[in-house]
Amino acid sequence: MVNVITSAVLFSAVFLYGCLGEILTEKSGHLNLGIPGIMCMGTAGGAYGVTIVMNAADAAGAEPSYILLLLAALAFGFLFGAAAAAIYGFFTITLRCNQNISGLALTTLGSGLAQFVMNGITDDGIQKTNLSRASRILSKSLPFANDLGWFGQLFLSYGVLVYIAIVVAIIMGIVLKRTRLGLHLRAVGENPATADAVGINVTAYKYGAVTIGGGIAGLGGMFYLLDSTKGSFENSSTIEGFGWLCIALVIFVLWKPNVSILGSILFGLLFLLGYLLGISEPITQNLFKMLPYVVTIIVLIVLSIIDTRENQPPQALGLPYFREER
Amino acid sequence: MNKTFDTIFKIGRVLNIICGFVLGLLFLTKLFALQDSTALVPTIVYGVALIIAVVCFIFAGKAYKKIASGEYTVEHCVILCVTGIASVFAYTVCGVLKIIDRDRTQIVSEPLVRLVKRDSSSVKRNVIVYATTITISLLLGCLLIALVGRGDFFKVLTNVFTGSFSGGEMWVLMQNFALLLGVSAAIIPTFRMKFWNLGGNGQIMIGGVATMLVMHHLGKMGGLSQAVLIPIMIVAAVAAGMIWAVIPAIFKAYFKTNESLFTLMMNYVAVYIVEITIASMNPGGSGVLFARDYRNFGLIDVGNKYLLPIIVVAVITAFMIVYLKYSKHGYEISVVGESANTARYIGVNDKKVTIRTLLLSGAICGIIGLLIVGGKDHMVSTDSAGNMGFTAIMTVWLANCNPIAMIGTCFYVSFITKGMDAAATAIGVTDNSAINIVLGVVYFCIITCSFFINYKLVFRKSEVKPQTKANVAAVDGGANNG
Amino acid sequence: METTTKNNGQVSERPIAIQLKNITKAFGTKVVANKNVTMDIRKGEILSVLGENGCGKTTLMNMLAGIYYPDSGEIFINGEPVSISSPKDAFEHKIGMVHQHFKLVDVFTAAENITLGLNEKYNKKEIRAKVLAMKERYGFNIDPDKKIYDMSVSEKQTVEIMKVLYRGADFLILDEPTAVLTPQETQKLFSVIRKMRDDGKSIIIITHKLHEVLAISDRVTILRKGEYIDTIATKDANEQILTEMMVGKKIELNIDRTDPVNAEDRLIVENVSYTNHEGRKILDSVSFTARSGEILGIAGISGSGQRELLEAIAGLQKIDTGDILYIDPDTKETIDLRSKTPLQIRDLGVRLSFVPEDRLGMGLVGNMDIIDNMMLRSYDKGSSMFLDRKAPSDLADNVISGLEVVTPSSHTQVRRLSGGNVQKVLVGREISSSPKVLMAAYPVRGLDINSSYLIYNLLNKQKVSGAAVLFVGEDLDVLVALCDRIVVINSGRITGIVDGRTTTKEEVGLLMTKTDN
Repeated sequence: MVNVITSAVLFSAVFLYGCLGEILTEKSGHLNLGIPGIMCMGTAGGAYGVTIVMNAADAAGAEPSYILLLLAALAFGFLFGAAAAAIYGFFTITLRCNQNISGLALTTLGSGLAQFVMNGITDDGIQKTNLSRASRILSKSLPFANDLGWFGQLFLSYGVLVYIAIVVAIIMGIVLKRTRLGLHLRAVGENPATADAVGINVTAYKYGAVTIGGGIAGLGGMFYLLDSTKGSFENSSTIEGFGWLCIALVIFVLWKPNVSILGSILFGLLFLLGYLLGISEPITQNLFKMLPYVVTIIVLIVLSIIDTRENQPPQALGLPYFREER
Repeated sequence: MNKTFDTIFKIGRVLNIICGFVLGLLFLTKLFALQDSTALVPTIVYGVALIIAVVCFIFAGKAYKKIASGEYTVEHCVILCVTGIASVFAYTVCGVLKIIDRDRTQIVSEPLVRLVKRDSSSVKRNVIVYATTITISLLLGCLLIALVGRGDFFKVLTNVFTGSFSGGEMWVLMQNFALLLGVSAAIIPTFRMKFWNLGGNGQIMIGGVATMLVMHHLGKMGGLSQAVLIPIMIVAAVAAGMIWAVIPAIFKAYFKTNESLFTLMMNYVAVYIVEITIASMNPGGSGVLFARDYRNFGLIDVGNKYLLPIIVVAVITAFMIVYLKYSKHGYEISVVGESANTARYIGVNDKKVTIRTLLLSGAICGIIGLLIVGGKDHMVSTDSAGNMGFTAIMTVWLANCNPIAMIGTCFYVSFITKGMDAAATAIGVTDNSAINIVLGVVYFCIITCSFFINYKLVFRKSEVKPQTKANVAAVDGGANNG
Repeated sequence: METTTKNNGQVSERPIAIQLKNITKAFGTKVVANKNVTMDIRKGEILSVLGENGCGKTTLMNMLAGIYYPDSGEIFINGEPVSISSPKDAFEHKIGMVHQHFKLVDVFTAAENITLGLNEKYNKKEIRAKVLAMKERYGFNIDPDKKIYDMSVSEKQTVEIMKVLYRGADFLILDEPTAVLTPQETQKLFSVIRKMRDDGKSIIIITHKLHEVLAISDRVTILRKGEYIDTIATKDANEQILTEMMVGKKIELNIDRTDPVNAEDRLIVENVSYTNHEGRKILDSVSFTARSGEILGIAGISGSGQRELLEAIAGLQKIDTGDILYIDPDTKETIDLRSKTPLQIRDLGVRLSFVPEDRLGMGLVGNMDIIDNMMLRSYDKGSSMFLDRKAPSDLADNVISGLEVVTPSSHTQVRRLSGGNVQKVLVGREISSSPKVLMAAYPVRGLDINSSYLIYNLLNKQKVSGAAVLFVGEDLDVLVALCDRIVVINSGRITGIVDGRTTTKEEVGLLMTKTDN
């Protein structure tokens, strides 16, 4: 049982990063359907950063430092994701193009680009093993976890990246609810005309949210590579699939970062349920794999029927903002 | 010394200098504005960031020298990385701070360049924009492939054309074009209604599943003749596609459920339904069906094996053009999509129109599924739709929801896809990713093209008195205000 | 009766705080919103700026608030000339405006909206304390933690006022504040305004409601057709004086008005009431009868319920109680129109045409060409599934030549036509079906003189051919010259039905602003 939960939690960090990134983006009024592509780019970024550090360490003949590896993975995963999101941002914020279409274009571009970079890295046998080595280092759990029995296993046995995700979720929740920055961002997503009228720089907030959100989502892709798959990479379609799930998850958790911690664990559970229950029969397996999507559809329907003001998406989600139309 | 490392370091250095410079300026401005109490915190932050930037610069330089000379330890690498990341962090924080800061002092003034929706675009201008887009995307794509495959640019360019138009390839191109056109014809009525049907992939797949089930259970297992099978397959595929498409439509019509996300999720459910179908037909098997097992239970070829889809899609396209432009339904679709208020004014039932249009869309997708599974592939797989659901969105968008232009845009996208694929293979790039990159770039070219057709840039005229936004746009507004 | 004293506002001993001198503002080349307006605002007073629809009062105040910038003229604050080019500038000079259309974020609380956009520290407790202090001081009835979507219109307006006060405004401009309030809420607002004045603030109320002007303000400034008329102390004013200044002398319009022939009841509206979901009574026991061969004018301040009334008759607006009956001239049978959709009305054989106020947003589809717009009402005719574009094309040609529509062709997109031509297309289509009832809302708004006269003639022709014409308009000169009878509506209630030939502008003006309390 504990195993089930720990596996789910480990997996859920992928969803958590992606979901947090998209929450931030949607809070500013932008529906970024390019998250799958951005997460792929994050994978590529993580791989790239980690490879640099590993190579440097190898050249020096020393063991790669934990901190360095971590920082490189975080920094590059974030940067690649943010850069991809910035492309989407340019088209939808400055050029005011349709968000659905721009997002879809970015998914295609992002997954292709990421696959290309990854192929470049994994083609070299040395680099490939480097990835798995790095992954082993990064997914090390806290040293005393094993001594604390089931408690330790349940709460403390994850790699540091999982905890970082949770911390990011908590920070995001605090920023959105309790700081002026969060207040203004929410205003931009709900009613950009009002925000503009009181002097808030709508464009700056949108760019900030889209780019930083993209960066965070990119970390999800990085995590998947360096933790879940232990450094092995086949193609970008799995991560793409996760990206869509993350978008679904955002709705499921009602755009609340705190709820997303639990929500992503639930999605992780749903996703792995088939494996965890040891189901090998393909039909049932597929039914289980379908679950997260079906659950999301149900949530979508229920939300639109209930239609309470508090649980709705940001009012200006998906709409471009023109100052003239005030 | 790793070349990449070197380049990154040099770039970082330059950035460090630039940003340090900017930080210094910011720090000084805040310093001189210190009598304003709100300037205290920014001053401190900028000062600290400036110090970080300078320290990073010094230490990074030292570490780099050591690494370059070969006598370094792991600590040096650490220092280098940390200084790099620290400066990035410092700049980001300052950037964020600057954004907040600007809220304070911003005057609502007219921007240098404004975006205004274009009233109309002459046909001549449209042609120029389209032609430019096509040319640029073609050249860009070839460039990318040449770079990736380290090949000759002109060779790539030629291959794009020969790979599409020579001999047998022409037929394949026409088939791809036809299928894409069919899916676009399915999507276009929904887009004209401003219903974002992103579920084309799923609808095709479900149509394919229905076809497969008939082929397998009634054909292979049931032994019915093709003459009986084919009509049943048609009915099954159409019905399946319609059901898959109408579910989101119903919820949108009655509860205003977001249709983009709904149809997207339906795509994924469809994928798993395909897997289940395959598994059910092939228990204990590999999860892949073989075309040869089903060739005799599928559609009959007309002439060569490419002609059937072409003919069917030609009929569908002609139908769609007539439907949208000349039928009452098409008129209602236009009114509902253009002006919901006017639709209400004349009493058009938008729920009825939504559901009816999606039924049609699903039916056409079902037929495409039938053509693919029963005709081209003779089996169903999760790749059956070939992502055409998404590609069709692009072609319809580029065509500005005009069904005649849609023919041109579908041809263009099919041609570029096939051509680039052929060119890539010819110079030895077998990687699927290169094609996706090119496609992605082409899509963004399409988006930019659409932008130039629909908007224009207005530059600020120099005025003695500052203009405010409402000032310039207020011809009617002023007259109606009290 | 000449009772005005043109002493240009020297009716108060309070010191002058803001002066506007020779302010002129035009939009485009045709519309001059304000022409050489000179007025002043004193410290610690309640000033009403009074005038009809379209007289320029909102535009003038918008210039003080930084929304518009004057083409010429100067603004002085405490004797110093100032340039107000943005709302931020206005706030720096302690001027704040509460507009008719609120700018609030629905999911935020009152406190969050009040502090939005400012740069003070975001400490929820402190902000809440400040808001509560303001609430105590002026008697606002607002819970700072209440969400906007839970609030009534009057509460939302209070939040907007608090927003302005919170930013330190000493001069508050309220644009038609009581338009959305019930009488009780209006009283509450007035007591709050008085408290603010006693606190040393100046409140400028843009309004057209005479009784409120008399009830609350210290002085009244009257504008008419973009020009400054006069300022008088409220104690020296009464409804007669104000109306006369507001509407001015009668202007002779050359509109041919024939007498109705064989007028029969065509459309009976009986006790129609409708309360909207915010609890405001939009229509209150409205009853009148429209007769054939007659133009029935509907006069009233914008937003008194005219739009909802016409939409209810057309089948676009549901009503709570009452009846709408149509009497067929041929069969003489009575058809109940209540709660029918436009298509049902048409299927019943009722020939009812409606020219809505929102031309391109409702009456026409901007992106379609003239021919396709001509088809909007009739596209469904016939049993074939195909559209018949022949008849609409002929109609388009007729309308274009008959009404002199300036357009490259009948295939031109309607949104590219100028305002007057758009209206001609719309009216042309609506009268093409030879309606028995024709309703037109503000059909000449924004049109030049020639087009306006063309529309009047079209309406007259319809009247002569036996239709019952309902004309909602805002120009009293036109109403009095064109209509046979005029129904006056105020806050959803009919305040009077007068004969067009014997009434005067003043009488109608008075009825427009009359309330029953």
